[in-house]
Amino acid sequence: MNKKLNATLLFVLISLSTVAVGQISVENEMYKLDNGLTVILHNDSSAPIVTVNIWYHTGSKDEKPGRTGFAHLFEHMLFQGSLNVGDDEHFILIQGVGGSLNGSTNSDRTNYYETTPSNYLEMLLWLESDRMGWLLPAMTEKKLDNQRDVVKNERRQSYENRPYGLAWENIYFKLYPEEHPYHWSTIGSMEDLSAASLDDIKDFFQSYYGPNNASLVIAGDFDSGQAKVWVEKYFGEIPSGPEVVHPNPDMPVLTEEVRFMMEDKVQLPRIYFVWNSVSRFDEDEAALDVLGEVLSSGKNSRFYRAMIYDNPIAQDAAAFQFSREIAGSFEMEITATPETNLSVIEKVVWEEVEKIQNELPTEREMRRAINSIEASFVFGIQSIGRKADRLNSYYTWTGVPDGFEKDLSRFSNVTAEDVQRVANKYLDKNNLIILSVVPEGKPELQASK
Amino acid sequence: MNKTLLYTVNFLLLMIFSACSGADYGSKTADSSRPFDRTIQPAEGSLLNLALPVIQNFSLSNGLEVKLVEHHELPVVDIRLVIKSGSFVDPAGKAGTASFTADMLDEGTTTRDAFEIADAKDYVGARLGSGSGWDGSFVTLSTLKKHLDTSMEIFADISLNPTFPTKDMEKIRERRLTRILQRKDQPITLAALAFAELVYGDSHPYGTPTTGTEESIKSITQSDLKNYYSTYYKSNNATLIVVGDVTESEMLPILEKYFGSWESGMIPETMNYDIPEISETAFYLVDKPDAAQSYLYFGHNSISRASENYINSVVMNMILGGQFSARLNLNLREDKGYTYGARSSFSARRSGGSFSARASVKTDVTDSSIVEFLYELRRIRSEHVTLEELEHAKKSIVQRLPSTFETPSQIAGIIGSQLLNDLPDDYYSTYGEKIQAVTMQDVMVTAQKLIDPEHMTLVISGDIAQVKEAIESLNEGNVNIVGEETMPE
Repeated sequence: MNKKLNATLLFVLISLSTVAVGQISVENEMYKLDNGLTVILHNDSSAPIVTVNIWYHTGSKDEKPGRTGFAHLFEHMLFQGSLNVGDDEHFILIQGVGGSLNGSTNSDRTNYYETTPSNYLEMLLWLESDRMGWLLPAMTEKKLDNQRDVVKNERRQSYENRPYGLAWENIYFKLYPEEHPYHWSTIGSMEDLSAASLDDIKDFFQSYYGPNNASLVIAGDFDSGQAKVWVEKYFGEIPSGPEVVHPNPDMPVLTEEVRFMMEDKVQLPRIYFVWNSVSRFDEDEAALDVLGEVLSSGKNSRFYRAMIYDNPIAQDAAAFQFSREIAGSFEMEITATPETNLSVIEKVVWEEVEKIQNELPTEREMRRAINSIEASFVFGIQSIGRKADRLNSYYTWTGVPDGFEKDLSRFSNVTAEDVQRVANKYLDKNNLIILSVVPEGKPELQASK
Repeated sequence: MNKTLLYTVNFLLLMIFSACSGADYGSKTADSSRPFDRTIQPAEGSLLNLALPVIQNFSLSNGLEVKLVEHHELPVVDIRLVIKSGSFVDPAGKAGTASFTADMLDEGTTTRDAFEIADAKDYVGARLGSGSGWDGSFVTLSTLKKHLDTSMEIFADISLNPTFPTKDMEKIRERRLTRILQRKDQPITLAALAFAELVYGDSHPYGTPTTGTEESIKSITQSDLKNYYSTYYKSNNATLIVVGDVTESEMLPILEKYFGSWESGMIPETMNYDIPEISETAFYLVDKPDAAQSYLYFGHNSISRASENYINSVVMNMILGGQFSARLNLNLREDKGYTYGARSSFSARRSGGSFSARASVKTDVTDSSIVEFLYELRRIRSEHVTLEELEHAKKSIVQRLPSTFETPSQIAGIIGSQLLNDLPDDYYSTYGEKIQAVTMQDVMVTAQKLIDPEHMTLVISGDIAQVKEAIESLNEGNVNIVGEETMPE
């Protein structure tokens, strides 16, 4: 194989000033199989390991009414064997060669990934292709019932039995109207999990798990020529699925303040502020990220000074942009100190919001925020597992796997004026969700109008 | 990477026991349309050489030891200052001193206040951290290489010149007390704290959390922190670990500039403590009314890192509950559906350790889950594991090494842990052979020595009203209730 085809990680840092803007590139080779599977190869021989990372462009956004939580339950079923791979064998084979593996589901995509010593690449491709092509013959009621119980326990462990665990689910019930697919949570409801059937598995598999709706990244220490032969061998004969159409309703907009309260088994009151904002890669997204940094990241952030240090009314305070494929929100989550009334926190939050709406952040604040974001780009590609996931992410949302430099430049170009402008545009005092979560029996601690 | 800097460990030994079978992939062909048998699992590729990081040792003019690993993949440097004393030497009644001390390092130095420290490191995008474990305290830095000198200056400043300012100390104290209050929100934390107190009692350091109790945190004074710092943060009780895109000749002058005049001191000897005998297995229930799940935390006192049984314990635990494909998880999750995950582990520290098996299970199967846990804990003592399980576990452990040495911060962490446990620099070059030498008989004998279901502390945090009777009817041990007043705060 021509060595020149072997992509290598190229990293160049060009100093533009004392606090430089980096230039970062992850070289790769991308092509499509006849059945529509996108393949992205990235060579990095710094450790003798290889990662296979597959994204299916589907998530809870594609679920039918009455089947919330299904995309995630379905992800669990992909570890229960396929025509030529036994029950749990996926885990056993990969862990049995020292590999690590998992999968995850969100509203817009489902990913599956495994890292092993690089001499097991062919086995990984065999395993991934078998469940992409031949999942259904292995599905049984018994396996579905077992994983239904496991996922219900995941809901109990990570939501119901976790402090503040139901807050976000209830916020999105109110932020998005019932017909919007971000209205419901990825974990889904107990009733809908109970209702999921083998027919649902068949439908979902046939609709969303075709190779044309997936992208396969191979990253690490491997031979690209050999990998291409294997990819064709194992994935080439899997038939394409139907064209996938995702729901794409208009960006919802709250037209009122929605204020509510929940009691929970917690010691400290916590308050959430949530505004409709923008979807992933929107032109205002980077400025909203920097706004979140300026407000809440580090000891010099506005929130730390105002609520944690000078006048300690909060235990922790975070502000951040949360972007999804077809919508997004700007969010704040602030935990009060014991017995602090959340109205006190609310007052300070509005003071800080008004301040950033009326005065430009300082040059120093901007540099701190942007330099920290830039450094995190470099720290974020140290492991091939994370790098592979980023390649798939950039490919799925923008069509170009090596989106690092373009993404980074969005942040480098954010100005203090941009931050002020997005604070004014999105942090509307009249249209937002305000949720107070208070210790059981202490409703008087909620933030009241 | 410069090959001459690397030495290699041959994986040949490991491959002999391959669990994989099937066709020889040697007959590679570009003709992908050629039919092939998908039922046959591909064989593994040719043997791998793992290049373990090569540790270069040198010292500064004051004797401070440095361990450096060149890692030139990205222009990044990770630095870790390891102090060889941690929470184990907290003064009596002042649990949390080591952790509070480390927490205060970036709250003020002789030339900077907390905000100036944070501003300086955020301005160059550096990540600075500090903390403590049972056996050591740490200051860590991750920086882009182009900002190495600036970042090192801040890193050295907080490591060497902290002032523990009173105003900031009181603010940190309040936040730590609030975090202690928040422990009550977490069933997992409640169970783990109750377990530690029951197993070790209140006179052994392990009985109290490293972050302290409400009482101890309230009692710690500024001079306690200053005393801890001036006793243990000494050049002869520390090592600097450097991993990244640098060489010894580049680093030496920088380290010398910032750490070369750090003083040494007399380090007090570490005391030994007795551990209470557990006469019989008993249950301890921590009430979480209406909890959707019960959290089970079962175990007992166990071996230290230096134990001759350590290697055997790693293999045995990997089969019992060390990963997804281990017995506990395959039984309780994949077969029964009682939980989202069940695991077991040994926590082997310098001066002792513990064994525990854990899971969050649905409330109405609390008793059935206990039965399965005890079944698995007894089975591994009474029957040989299968050859297949043994080889699966060994391969799983040894072949994971390449992934655990992937990034500079992983490598720095592993070297730090070797250092605190007196393991040699080349520890991992013989690790694979030692793991491969473990036999089925070793696993059973080790389980008999190290797992004792008849003298175990079984802590359950959950809804007592729903689970107590069912647990009593198992007849596996007395059932006690751990009340608020006996809970560590």
